[in-house]
Amino acid sequence: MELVCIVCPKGCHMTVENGVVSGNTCKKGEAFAKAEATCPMRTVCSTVATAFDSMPVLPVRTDGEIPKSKIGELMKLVNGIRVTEKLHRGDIVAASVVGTDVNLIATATIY
Amino acid sequence: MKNYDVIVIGGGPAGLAAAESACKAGAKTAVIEREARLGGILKQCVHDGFGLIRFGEKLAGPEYAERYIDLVKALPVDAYTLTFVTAAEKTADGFRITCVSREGMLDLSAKAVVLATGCRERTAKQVLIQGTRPAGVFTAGTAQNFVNLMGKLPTKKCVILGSGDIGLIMARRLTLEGAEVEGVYEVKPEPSGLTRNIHQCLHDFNIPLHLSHTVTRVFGADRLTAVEVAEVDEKMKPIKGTERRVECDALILSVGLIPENELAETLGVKLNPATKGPDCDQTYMTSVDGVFSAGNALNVFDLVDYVSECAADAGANAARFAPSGSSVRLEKGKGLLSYVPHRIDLTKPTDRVVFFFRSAKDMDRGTLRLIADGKEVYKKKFSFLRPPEMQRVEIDLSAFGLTAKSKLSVELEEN
Repeated sequence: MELVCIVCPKGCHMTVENGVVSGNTCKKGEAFAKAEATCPMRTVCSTVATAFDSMPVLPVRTDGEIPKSKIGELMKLVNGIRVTEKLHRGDIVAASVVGTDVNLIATATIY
Repeated sequence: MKNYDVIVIGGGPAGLAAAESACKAGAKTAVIEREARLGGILKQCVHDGFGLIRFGEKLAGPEYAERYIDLVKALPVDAYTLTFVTAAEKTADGFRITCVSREGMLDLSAKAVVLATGCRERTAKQVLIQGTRPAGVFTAGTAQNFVNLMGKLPTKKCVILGSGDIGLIMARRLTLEGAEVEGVYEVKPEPSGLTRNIHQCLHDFNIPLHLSHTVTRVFGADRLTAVEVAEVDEKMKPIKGTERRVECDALILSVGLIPENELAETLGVKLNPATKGPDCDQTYMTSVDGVFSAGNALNVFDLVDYVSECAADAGANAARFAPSGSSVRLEKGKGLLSYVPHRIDLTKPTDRVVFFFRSAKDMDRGTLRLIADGKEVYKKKFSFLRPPEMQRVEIDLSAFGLTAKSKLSVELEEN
């Protein structure tokens, strides 16, 4: 499998063959390539609806990475949420999402 | 009239960092923001990747903005929101800033001004697309505002013209929200956004990127119904016979950012043709004594962390501003697209000059050189240089024996 590293702006062109990574120039790149070949992980950022006119949507993100294959499932959950409390930046909007121990957190404060 | 030492115009990431550092340097400081909330464009940048350098964490845009808002609010900085600057004039002892707010007219004065007015997106008018003028043609930033601040999806199926980072980010965002992005079309043979965004925004969602392609026509009366796309030749002219019609209800433009300097120009600030922002010295002071420029108004950055750094320096320098002294211009040699600063004021510290630059083209390896009076005084090697990715380097110029008569130039050689 051939891929371009997205860990840093260098963008190393890497190859993964039978679990062996080549073309990387750092350890982080190697770890990224291995994950991409087995279970690619992503942080997901989005917005959820709120009950407040001043801020109709609240930006959120996962506080860790989730499997890329579960992004669709996460978005279904995200699109069903409507926040009715005045949450603060960092507050948990949904705990342990899509069968992981990753939480969905607010990235802004509702004003 | 209310008097300040430093007035910062613009309450985005640059303005916040400038206000924070000006105040910490002992200046009586005000920041003026036209919107209801501080934070600028970061409020709508809900994606992550901000703050790796500044905070050592990968934050979403609103988080980064709120951290700075908290820093500023903890200081005695006067923040005027819903306040729009209508005029800035030089007076005998500083500047007079006239604003309008909900309370009416506001007259302020300052010894120094930091222009942190950000940048604007190029629009459809600036890329010359033929056809009617239906609704549904907007910039990536407008689409981002609709989705991320208003919670409205402005398209069901769209075409994105230009592969700038905001366009790529919006391709992913719109896809996540259930819209179809038919493709991203880039007139140049290489993408203009960051490599990582091509991968995590387009490849992850199987959104095609068509290089050397452009939109040649729009169709629709009230609302956009389709666009015509075509391949272009090496002169970026559409090739006859390659036209294809794509049904869609929106055309989203991500075709570049231009520093916003309308106010700067009314103050007589000289602009640099390469950055399209003010010509500045190593303290970020413009050609007008006491007027400083920071962030994307100075030079469109790709990392907000660098915006904050540049603006913090500009704010601190504005707090202890002294008129310009004898200076050396930093002339542009080969291999460079743009850089700041453009001149070195020899009466101000020269031992830690932060130099930001972009290469003119892709270079796997390049050497940055400073040449003073025909002699190489500094060199540094860089790897993986790409025009969309700005480089930063600190240079000690104090040992080069520069005088006002020196000829100083900077160049980037591919090796």
